[in-house]
Amino acid sequence: MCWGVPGVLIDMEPEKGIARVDFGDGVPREVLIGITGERLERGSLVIVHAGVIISTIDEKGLVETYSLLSDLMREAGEQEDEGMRSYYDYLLRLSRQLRGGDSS
Amino acid sequence: MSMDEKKLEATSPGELAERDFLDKLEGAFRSNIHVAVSLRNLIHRLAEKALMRGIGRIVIMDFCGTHEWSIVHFGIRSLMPRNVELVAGPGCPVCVTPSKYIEYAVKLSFEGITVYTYGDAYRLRSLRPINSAYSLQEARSDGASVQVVTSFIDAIRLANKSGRESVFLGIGFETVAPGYAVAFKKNIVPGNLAFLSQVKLTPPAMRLSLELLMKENLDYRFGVIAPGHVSTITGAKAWSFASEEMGIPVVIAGFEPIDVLIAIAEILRQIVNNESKTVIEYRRAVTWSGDEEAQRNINEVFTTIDDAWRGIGIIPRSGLELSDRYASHNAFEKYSLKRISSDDWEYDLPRGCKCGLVTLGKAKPTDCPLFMKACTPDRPIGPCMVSVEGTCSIWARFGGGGLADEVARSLEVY
Ligand code: SF4
Repeated sequence: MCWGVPGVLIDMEPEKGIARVDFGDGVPREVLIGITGERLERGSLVIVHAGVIISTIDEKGLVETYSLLSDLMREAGEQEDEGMRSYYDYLLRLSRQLRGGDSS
Repeated sequence: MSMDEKKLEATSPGELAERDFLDKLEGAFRSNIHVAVSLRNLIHRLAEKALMRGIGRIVIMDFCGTHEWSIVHFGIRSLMPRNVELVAGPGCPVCVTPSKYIEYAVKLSFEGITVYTYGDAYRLRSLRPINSAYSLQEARSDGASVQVVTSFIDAIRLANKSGRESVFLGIGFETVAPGYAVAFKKNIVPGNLAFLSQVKLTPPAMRLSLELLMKENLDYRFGVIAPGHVSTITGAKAWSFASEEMGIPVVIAGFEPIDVLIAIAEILRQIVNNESKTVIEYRRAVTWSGDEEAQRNINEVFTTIDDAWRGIGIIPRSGLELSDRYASHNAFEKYSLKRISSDDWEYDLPRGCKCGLVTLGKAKPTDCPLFMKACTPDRPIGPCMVSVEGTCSIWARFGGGGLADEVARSLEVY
């Protein structure tokens, strides 16, 4: 019950306070919505702790974390971390896909 | 039993993703050495300035298992100037769950009531045995009904399915509290599932440990790295008492090693300039006022009580109990279990265990003669070794050699 993990909100039942979240492995898992429901929608990027959504981050937040690090790495002449990139890419792609699907 | 545990570990949702994430974080830090080096140099320059201004020792306390993990895992302690000490404070809810309440849970499990618990609380040892069982784990191997879950929602699902009388051991800080609250508010907790609330509040514990440290070290200066996740709910305002009333700089930091280094640098900067402010470094997720709806939900479902902390005592207004409206779910009421009051509180750690002092930041795990001798992660004696968030367990698992040394060594190239 330790770390906060980023994931993508797949769907939710606000009347029950429940949502399903993909943590990057393609398997949606049930969690409780601990925060203001209005901030959540299909495709939201969320941080989950012990099965409870404790915050949302925006794309910028997720991208910032990644791009800050990769910029710094490039500057330092380091190789980029492919694994990390694909993990962030998956979450980002899924998040966009779901939100795009909703607004159309 | 150990196979059982392995299975439990492997099945917990999100955990694989967590491990994956942490692996990647580690990769990022390794490749991110030059930023760490400049931050380290900045920290050393600021510490020198502090010395020149006559400030001897600076103690910076963290309040979150994840920060402590980051500090230990990435060897951040070994990067600190000699006059700057990083100390772990109360950041582990499982560690401070009183022995008496574990005994209650064990007792209920023997009475045919299914007890749902998190994996680390499952292994917590009580002071006194119930039917010769010292933990929920032992109760289960004696045939009692105990089930490990990774979240409250799992317990709700299982209780719904079984229809059996059951209890959830609701441990946690402000981070999980809004999740518990929303489940009650939305009425999804079945009537057969009672809730043994062990939700603790971080600010009162922070105040207590800072007061104790200040009293004992009058000429030291202090700083606080405030917990990032708790702050997403409570907001930064929850810690302003430390900066405003106690004159202690507070930085709410993210969990990556760079976040922690930035927080330390900012604290030192404030100390050198004689400032004390509450600053949000973790802007990705934290605001000044926090999540007001979550706070409202907590206030609706719970009431604040003076609560018992294992090995420490009663801390005023430091715990949450289900409010009267949800009394039918309150395991204390339903099973006539008595809450510990200041009159009947007793020291409740195993003999020789210093977990209470470790939790308050008054002792390091290595100050405990049992650390890594009689008490190890495989055979934990005290709660700080049982929980993955406990300082002893973090030091034991990540403290010796390995990555910490390696990163520290490479960072020394300056
Ligand atoms: S090492 Fe074990 S016995 Fe010593 S303080 Fe930590 S938990 Fe307690």
